[in-house]
Amino acid sequence: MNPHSSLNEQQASPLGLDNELFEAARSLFAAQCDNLRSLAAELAGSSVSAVDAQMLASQAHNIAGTARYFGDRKLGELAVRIEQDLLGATNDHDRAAACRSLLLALAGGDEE
Amino acid sequence: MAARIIYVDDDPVMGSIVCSVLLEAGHAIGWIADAEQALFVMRRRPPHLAILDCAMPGMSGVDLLRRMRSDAVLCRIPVLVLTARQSEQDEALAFGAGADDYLRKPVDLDLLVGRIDAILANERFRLSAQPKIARI
Repeated sequence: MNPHSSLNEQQASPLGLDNELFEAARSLFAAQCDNLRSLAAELAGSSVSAVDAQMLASQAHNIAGTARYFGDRKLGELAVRIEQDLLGATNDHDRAAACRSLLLALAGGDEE
Repeated sequence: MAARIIYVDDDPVMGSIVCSVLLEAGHAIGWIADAEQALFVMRRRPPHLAILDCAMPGMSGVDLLRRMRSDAVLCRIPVLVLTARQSEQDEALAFGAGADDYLRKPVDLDLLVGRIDAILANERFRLSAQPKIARI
């Protein structure tokens, strides 16, 4: 199953917009998800430093703000929570757990 | 009525969405990803309304708002803060810095257009009422 199948469908935008800008946004969003997935996968197997967590949180923050517009409300909600977990974690172990949650969310699952 | 609006947000996805929606609503919209650059652009040609994201690298949206409120050219421009930050403390901080309105991402896009129209209508009313109030 493609977890982001909504990105590949030509579905109507929230205001029924069908213009180039909105389509550009859709492509950019897909690229952001891919980049974040690659970064999280790279970090998930090792210890995650505070700087790494900040970088992941910053990208998760953007996805939290826009996922809903592309039919992925659940990813947006998970991204909000994982961003907080990443920023609130005080050790490498907790940051790595949040990183794995992020990977799971980007794969279309929930960490719970 | 069409207005000149500037949107400051480092996320190109949100930039494209907001530009798309506001163009469709009949406004002239410019998107800038950097707060320092936005200050420069606004001083050269002040917009009718500014929409600011909070979490940006470098100068934050709230810091940009504070700079605007202490700037003789920009101090009266209505500002709507649009952010993915979810806490009420962040909202209070934005209003404390001088925001006219505050919306959380992901915002309903109809609501965004409605709030912008309301802010612009209030501003037009304030400007038209000013001479009358001065006479009183």
